Amino acid sequence: MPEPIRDDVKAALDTAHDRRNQVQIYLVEKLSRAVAVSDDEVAIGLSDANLATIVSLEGRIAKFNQQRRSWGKIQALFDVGPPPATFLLKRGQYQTPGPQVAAGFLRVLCESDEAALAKIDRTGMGSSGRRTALARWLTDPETPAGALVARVMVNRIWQHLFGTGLVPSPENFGNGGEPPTHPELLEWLSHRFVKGGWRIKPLVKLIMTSGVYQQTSQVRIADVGVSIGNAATPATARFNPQSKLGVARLTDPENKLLWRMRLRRLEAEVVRDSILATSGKLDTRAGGPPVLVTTRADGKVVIDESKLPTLTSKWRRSVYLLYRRAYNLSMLSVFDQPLISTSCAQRDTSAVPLQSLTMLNDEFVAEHAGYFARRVQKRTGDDTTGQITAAFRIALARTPDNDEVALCAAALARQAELYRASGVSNEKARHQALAELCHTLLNTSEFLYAE
Amino acid sequence: MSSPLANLNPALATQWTGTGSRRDFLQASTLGVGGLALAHLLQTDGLLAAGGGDQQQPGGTDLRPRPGHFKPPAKSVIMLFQTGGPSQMDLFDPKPELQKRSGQQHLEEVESFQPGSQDNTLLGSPFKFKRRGECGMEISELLPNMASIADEWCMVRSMFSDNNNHPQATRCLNTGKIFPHRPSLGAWISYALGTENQNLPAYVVLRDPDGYANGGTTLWDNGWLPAQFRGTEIQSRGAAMLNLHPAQDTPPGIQRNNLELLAQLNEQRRQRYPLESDLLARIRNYELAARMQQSAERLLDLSGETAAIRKLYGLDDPVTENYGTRCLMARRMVELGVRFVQLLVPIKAGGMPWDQHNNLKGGLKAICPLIDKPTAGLIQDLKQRGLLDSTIVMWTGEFGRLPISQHGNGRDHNRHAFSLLLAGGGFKPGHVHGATDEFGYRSVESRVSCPDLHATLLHQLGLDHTRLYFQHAGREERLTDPEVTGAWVVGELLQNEVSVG
Repeated sequence: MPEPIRDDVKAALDTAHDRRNQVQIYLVEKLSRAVAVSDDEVAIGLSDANLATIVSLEGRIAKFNQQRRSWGKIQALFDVGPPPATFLLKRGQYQTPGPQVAAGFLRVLCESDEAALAKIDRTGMGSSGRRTALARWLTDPETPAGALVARVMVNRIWQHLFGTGLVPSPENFGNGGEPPTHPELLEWLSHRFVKGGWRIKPLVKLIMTSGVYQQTSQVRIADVGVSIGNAATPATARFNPQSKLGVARLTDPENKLLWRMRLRRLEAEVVRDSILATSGKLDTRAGGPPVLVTTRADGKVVIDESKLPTLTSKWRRSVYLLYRRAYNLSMLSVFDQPLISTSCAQRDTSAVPLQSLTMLNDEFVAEHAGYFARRVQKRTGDDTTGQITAAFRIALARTPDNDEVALCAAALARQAELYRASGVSNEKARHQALAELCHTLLNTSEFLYAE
Repeated sequence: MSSPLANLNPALATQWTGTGSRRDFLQASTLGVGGLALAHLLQTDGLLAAGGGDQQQPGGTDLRPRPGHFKPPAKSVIMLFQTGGPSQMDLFDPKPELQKRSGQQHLEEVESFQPGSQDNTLLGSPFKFKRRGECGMEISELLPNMASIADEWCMVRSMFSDNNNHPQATRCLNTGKIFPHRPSLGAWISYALGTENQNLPAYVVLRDPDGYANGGTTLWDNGWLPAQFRGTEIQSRGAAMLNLHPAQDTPPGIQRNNLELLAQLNEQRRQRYPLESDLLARIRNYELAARMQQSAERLLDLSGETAAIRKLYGLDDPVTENYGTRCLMARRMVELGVRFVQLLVPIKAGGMPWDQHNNLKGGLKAICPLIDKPTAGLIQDLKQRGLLDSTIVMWTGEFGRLPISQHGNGRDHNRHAFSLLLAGGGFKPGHVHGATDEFGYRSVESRVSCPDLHATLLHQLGLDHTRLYFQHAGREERLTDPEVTGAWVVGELLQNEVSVG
C-alpha cells in the first residue's frame, strides 16, 4: 500500500458504509480486498496460549448455539429509507397539503415551541431515530407528556379492574373528557407507578389488596330500604335515608365514588375461558404457536380444527387465538370483543339477545355443558342434591340455598322425564337432565358477571 | 313538527346522546329499575310509540324506536350493493361521442388502477340503449326489467368516489370515508332511529349464501358505535341466524324448561342487586331471544307467498332464484319493521361480479340476468303494497369504470364517475340527475359525493346530518363530517325539494 494513501484508506474503512463520501467509496471498493486479513494469517501470528483460548471459546459458542431455539418468523416494522416529507394538511385533507413540517411532539404537552421539536439522535441506530425519540419523550416523567402517560396507564389498569376508570373517559384526559372522580388517588398511584419503574404487576397487586377493590357488589335490600318488587310488577324505589348505604345511594346514585363494588359483565375472552374452566377442559399451557380460526360457510367464525398444534389446543385460553383484522371468533365478537384493527379504549358490555342465543344454542357451549355434567357426576355420583351443590360450586363458586336446590331438583326430574319419554335409557336421561342443568347455570347472569 | 330538542332537559340530554350508558340515563332520570321495567312493559304493549316522550332525540344505546329531527317521508332502507364497480357507460350512462370514437386514442390522460390500459384507446359500449318509460330515461338493453320501471327510478349519473381501489371505495360508499372501521350507514341509521320491531335485528345483512363479497363482514361494521348497531347476517339458506336453534336436537319442551329455570334463578339473584338494570335487561333478552327464534323463522318461510309473487321475483327460475330470494326476504323484513337491509349480489370467484377488467361483454351478460328481474320485482312489489313511499331502495356499486379499454376488451376502475339508482322514500321518480363528460370519465354536472348521498338519505329518514353525532375519542363524530367533506343534502333528488345550504 503506497504510503501517501494509507491514512485515507484507513479513514474510509473506519467510516460506516452509508456515510462514506464518493472518494471513500472508491477507495474501499478498490483496496478493501488488499488490506483484508484472513483467519489463517491471524492464526500464524497467535501464541499457543491464545490459540487454546480460541479453541475453548469456540467450543463454548458451539454449545450455546445448540441451546438456541427457533421461534420462526417475526413480523416487525423498520425504516426502509429516509422518512418522507410531512406536510401540514389544510382542513385535515390529504389532497390539500400546506407547508412542510419537521418531526415534533404535541405542542400542548411541551413547555415551549423549542421543546416540541423532536430531538433525534441517530447515532448507531440505522433508522430515522424517530420512534426512539417518541418513546423517550413519552416515558420521561419530568415532562408533561411522561406524567400524562403514567396517569393514562394507571387509569387504564384501574378501568380494567373496576369497569370504569378514575377518569371515566380513558381516551380523553382533555377538556372534552370527564374529570377524574378521585384526582388525588390518580396522582398518588401514578407517582407509585413511575417510582416503581413503570411495572404493572406491583400496581395491580396494590389495587387488588385494597379495601375498595375487596368490597362486595351486592346491596342488601334492607340496607338501602329499596323495595324492588319483581320483574313483572316493579315497585317504585324507596330509599331509607337513615341507613348508611341508603345515604350513599341517594348522594351518589351512579356509584361513581365506589361506595360498593361495581357489578361487571365478564369480558368476551373471560366468558369463553370460564366456560372451559367450568367444564374442566381448559388447556392452561403458556406460550407456543397460536390457534387459528376459520369462517364457516354459515358465517360463524370458529376454531380451525384442521390446523391444531395439539389435540387440546382448541381449549386453550382465548388470548392464544389468532385474530385477523375483522375476523374474531363469533363466540367472542358477540360479547363485544372489538375488532383488532381499530383502537378500542373501552369495551362495550352490551346485553343483546344474540348473546342469549349464543349461550343457549352454540355448539361450543352445549359441548362444554356436557363435559361439565360429567365432571359433576364423577365428583358426586347420582345423589341429586350432591350434584346440584357440586354444579353450583364449580360454576358459581358458592353453595346453592334451599330454594335453589328445590328449583333445580324439580328441573332435573322434569328434564329426565322428558328424555325418558323420548326413548333413551334411564341412566342416559339422568345424565342429559344434569347436562341441561349445567347448561342453564352457564346461562345465569351470575355466571356472566363478576360480583 | 318542531324539533324535540327544544324541550329537552339539558341534564337528560347529556346522558342520552351517547356518552352515558343506558344505566346512567335511567338512574339519572330517577326512575331507576322500576322505570326500565315499566318502559319495557309499555314497549311490549305498544304503548311507547315512536315520537312519544319529549326526552327522546336521535341516537341512543338501545334499539327502541325513537324519532328523528323532523317528520320523515321514509322509514327504512334497502341497499342493493353491487360490489365490484358496475360499468356506467354500458348500463346507465350512454355516451354517443364514446361510441363514435371507439378504437381511437383518447386525448385525455385518465387515472387507471391496474396495468392494461396504457394504450389509452377508447372503448365504445357493445350494448344498445333505449329511451324508457314516460320519463324517457335511457337504460341499457342489459337490464330490460329494471328498464321497464324507469318511471320509478331516480338516477344519479354524477356520483364520484375518493379512491379507485375496491376496499377504500367500498368504505367510502358505506361509511363516508376511505379509512377502515368507521361505522357503516346502516349502523348510523340504527343508532339514530332504533328499530320498529324488537323481535328482529335493526340492521340486517343478506349476503350470497355461497360466501362473502370483497371486504367480508367489514361492510356492515359498527365501527366505534355500540355493538348492537352492527349488521346481523340473516341467511337465505339453512338456519336464518347463527345460533337460532340448539346445536343438537332435543326433545320438545327441554329448552322451555331450561328457560323457565333460568328465569327463576336469575330473578332470585337479581333481588340481591336492586340497583342493577343490566340484570333485568339480560332477563328480558332471554325472552326476546325466544321470540326472535319464531320471528326469524317466519321471515325465512316463503311458503305463504303466492305463485305470482314468487314469479315476480324470479324464484321460479334457477338463474334469478339466488338473488330473488333475498329480494323477497328484504321486502318481508321492511314489512316487519326492519330499519336497514343490506343486500349483496351473487358472488363468483373473487367476490366481485361487476369487476370487468377483461371480457366486459361476457361478464356483464353473465351478471345482469341474475339481478335484473328480482330488482324490478322488488320495486313493483313494494309499490303494490304501498311500502315504496316509506322505503328507500338504493342500487349502487362503489365506483364506475373507465371509457378506455383494458387488455383490449375490459375496463379498469374509475373513481371519478359512477351511476346510482334510487327509488321510493320520497326520491323524485323518473328523474335523471347530473352528467358526466362526453366519454363518461368524469362527473361534471351537479356532482354528488358519497357524503352528499349520505346527507340526503339521512334527510329522507328525518335526520339532519349536521346534528346526528356520536361522542367518540373526544370528538362529536358524524357520518358525513360536513366541515371536512362539505356534505350537503341534494335537494334536486327529492320530490319535495328542500333548499339546504
